[in-house]
Amino acid sequence: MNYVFPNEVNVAWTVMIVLYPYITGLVAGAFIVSSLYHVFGRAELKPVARFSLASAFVFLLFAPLPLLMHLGRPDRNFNIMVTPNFSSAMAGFGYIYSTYLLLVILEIWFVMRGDFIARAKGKGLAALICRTILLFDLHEDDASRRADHKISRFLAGLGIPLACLLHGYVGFLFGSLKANPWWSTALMFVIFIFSAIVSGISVLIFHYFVVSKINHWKVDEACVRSMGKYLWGFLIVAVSLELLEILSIAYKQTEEWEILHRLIAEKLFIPYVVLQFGTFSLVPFIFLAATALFKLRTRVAHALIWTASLMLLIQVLLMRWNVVIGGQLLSKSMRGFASYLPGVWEKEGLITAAVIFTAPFIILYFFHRLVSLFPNATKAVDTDAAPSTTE
Amino acid sequence: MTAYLGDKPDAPPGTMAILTAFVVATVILVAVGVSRVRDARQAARGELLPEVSYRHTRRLFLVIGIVLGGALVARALAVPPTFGEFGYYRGAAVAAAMNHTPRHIGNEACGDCHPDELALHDKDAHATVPCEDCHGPGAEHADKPEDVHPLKPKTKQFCLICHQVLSARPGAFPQIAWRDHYKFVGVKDPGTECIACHSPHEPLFMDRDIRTARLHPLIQRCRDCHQGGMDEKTARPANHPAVFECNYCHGKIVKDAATRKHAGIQCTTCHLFTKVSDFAGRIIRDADPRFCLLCHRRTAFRDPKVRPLIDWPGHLAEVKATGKDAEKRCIDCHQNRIHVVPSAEEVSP
Amino acid sequence: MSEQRKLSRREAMRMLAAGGGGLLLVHCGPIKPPAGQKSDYDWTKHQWAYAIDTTKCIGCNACMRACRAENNVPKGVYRTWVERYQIDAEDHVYVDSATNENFVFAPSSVRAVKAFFVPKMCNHCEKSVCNQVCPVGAAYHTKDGAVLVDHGRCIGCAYCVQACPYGSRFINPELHMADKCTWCYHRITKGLLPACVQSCPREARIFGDLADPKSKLSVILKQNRYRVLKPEMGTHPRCFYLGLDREVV
Repeated sequence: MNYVFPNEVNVAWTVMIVLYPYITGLVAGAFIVSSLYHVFGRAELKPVARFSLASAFVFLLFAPLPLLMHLGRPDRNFNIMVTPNFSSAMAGFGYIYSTYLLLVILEIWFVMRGDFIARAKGKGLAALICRTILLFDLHEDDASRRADHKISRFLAGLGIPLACLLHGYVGFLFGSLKANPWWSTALMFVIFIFSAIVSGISVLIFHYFVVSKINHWKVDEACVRSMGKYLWGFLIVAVSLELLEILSIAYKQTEEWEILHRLIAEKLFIPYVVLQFGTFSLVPFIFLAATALFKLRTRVAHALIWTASLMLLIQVLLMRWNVVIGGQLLSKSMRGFASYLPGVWEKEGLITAAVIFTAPFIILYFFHRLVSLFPNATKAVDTDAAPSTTE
Repeated sequence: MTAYLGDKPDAPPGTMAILTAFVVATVILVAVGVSRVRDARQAARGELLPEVSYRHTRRLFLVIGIVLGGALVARALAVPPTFGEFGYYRGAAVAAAMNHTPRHIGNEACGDCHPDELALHDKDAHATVPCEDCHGPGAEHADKPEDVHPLKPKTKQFCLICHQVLSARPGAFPQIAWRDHYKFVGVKDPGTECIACHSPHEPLFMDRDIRTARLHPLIQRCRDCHQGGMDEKTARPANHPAVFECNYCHGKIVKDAATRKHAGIQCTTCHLFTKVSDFAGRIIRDADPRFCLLCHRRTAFRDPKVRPLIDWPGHLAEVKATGKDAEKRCIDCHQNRIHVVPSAEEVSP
Repeated sequence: MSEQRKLSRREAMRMLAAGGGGLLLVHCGPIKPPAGQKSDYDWTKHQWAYAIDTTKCIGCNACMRACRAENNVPKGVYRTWVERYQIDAEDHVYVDSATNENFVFAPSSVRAVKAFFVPKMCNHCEKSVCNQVCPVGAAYHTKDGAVLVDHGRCIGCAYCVQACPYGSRFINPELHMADKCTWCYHRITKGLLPACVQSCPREARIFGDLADPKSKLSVILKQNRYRVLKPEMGTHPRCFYLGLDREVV
């Protein structure tokens, strides 16, 4: 028996709406790492502090794009800031996003002002760009640097709850909808935040390794180990919350259980049970546990952490897919399922998603060309030829 | 009920704003407080407070201030003029919603130009069926009657939209299994359309409006309860719920009818019954000659072997009915082929 | 140390406060609207509601066709629809709708022991979730009880579509905005009936004024037992179902 209300045959929220929380999740996670250094003084994270801040910025720049692609009337997108209806979680997007974007821009301005000034003193287009960014005031001395430091610490601290709000409101957006039994849970706010942090740390680790490999830089051992440990910890919390939610539904077995059971066991069995939990949560958990608890050889530990980070990037994407698309496959008639496969070339298709996702990395590359994101990177020493020099 | 009605639901209206403001204010206060405490402690220890200058931030905050100010002004200007008039929405939207032109005009409007069809229609079995259900929306036709013509459905498929046998349809509703029906009325050509016999405005040629006909206790058929279909000839079990049968009250007539030419035809075929409530309905004895002709008119698509067919009004000439006789109805001469005419006491026990 | 006067923290804070205060003054809220225009229909005098008698529906779908014609509803989306429930001897429930080309139910192979039709549409809830979740104020309640969409404001985000527990809302593929049954607001404000109510040959759909205790609807609601769909959602629908079976969701 498969009955879907006639208006639910086509899914309203497509892969674009899967991509949006994924990207803002990367932002939140990257910003948390940056704040761990700037606010909580985790000195071992210094090598990636600037990189994580810049990553947060570029992902944030592209975060509204999936939404613009999805809106039926993107020409009216400013309505959400002109007449926001604050009883709607979605209305928070306009102001929360703008405030957070402003905060990240300011943070970058204050943290990297010295580097901008150094570059502005040169010649050419890059220097002009830097001078414009500095608003043509190149003055600096110890007093101004201390001021910069104070402000950036303040902003980094303020940014943590704002990042939680930026990503948490998306969770609340889903969790507060009583009409959809797959989405309706008080835990959704928290689940989204913690899995966002997991994805943010993962993308930093993954990208850091790739960038270091390309440029033949030495990967900072303490930094990577620390990030691996944080990733492991946040992973445990995120997966525990997700499991708690599903176990609670499965235990209570209210009326919706009939259809939710079919959703999990039939429609979402592969993406949810087999892939999200069985493969891409369990395996990274084991890898990260091994690197956190045991003394492994550097090469092995790095390979495990890098693989775990890649798998967790996929896990969080799967989680977003299973929540957003999974919830819509389930018909409100409680009697059947719709189906959804994203198109390739359409406005809300896979090509668009791929472009939106890869564009931030390209911008990040140009950012690095402008002002180095790894000012203290050193060339890697061939570990077979010379004794390893770990700090 | 109207206690709940409102443009804003009961959820706290400023939830997001209050939450955000609270969080932001807390963090700012905490940060500022911590900073001041640290400075105070340093000063108490006698250390020189290192000099801090914010002068280089002036330009930046000025630019931000201008941009934010400009944005807020733009926002205030962009709010539509009627927004908030009746609630948190654009007041002009209500007028816009009211402003479409109706496309359906209703039976009365059709009757302004087509009074005869409407009069027939209102008397017969399709009285509750709106004209526009079959003929489509009528506003454009009413505006330009010569240029825009409504639909005039003619096929069997169209009639079957309502009259097809479906198990989900209430049993009392007339459902026609058309092949069985054609067999019963002797139509041999399956391509024959329903309207070849049944005029859509007067499908049963009722001789009076059934809505004002006499009341009668509820007559139930098997299908009224057995939606999956039931063979009417199956014997009832001993504990079957009570259902009226015609012979409970009209035993003499039923016994007599079983000996006549129309034996085997159900009473309700000619004594049209419409359910009005769970206990009663209205009944008429349809004596209009055109009703009899629904079975007995000779046409090309009819098989003469099934039942006697006559030409109409040729039959009148055949039997040399003239003058007053020519105005007679079928039963005035052929009552004996149906059943005895009951006396007044026998009709209503 | 240069001659430039260094800005102390106190001075910076003062400037920020002054700037912020200035901004607040500028942001004084929306410009006061001029007096709204209304026709001579007085919406404070009516409280519209709808009743559906599921024991009468024959599934002819004249309502679906009339609604489509009256409101230019595009193909593939539905402001109203009819569901057919068939229950067989093993208590299996089969539900379908006639969403084919001409909205005709075909005979099915299910050997039904119990079967019926249930018309569905927007319930115009008193505590509608759709109004709550619209981010731009494009979903609203009229004072006479109709829940409507402002097509001059909607951005097509589809949050309301997700929020509706009854599947009544959809994104109109031609307008790219949210759309749904409006109770033919353009008709009821002129004293006409909604197209679906007018087209029903069985009086299975009844529309009327709760504010008038003598209206047909008020009388029917007083004399019959009725229910609403998904009462546990707390939406307080204004569509009342007579003879609603337990299988109907």
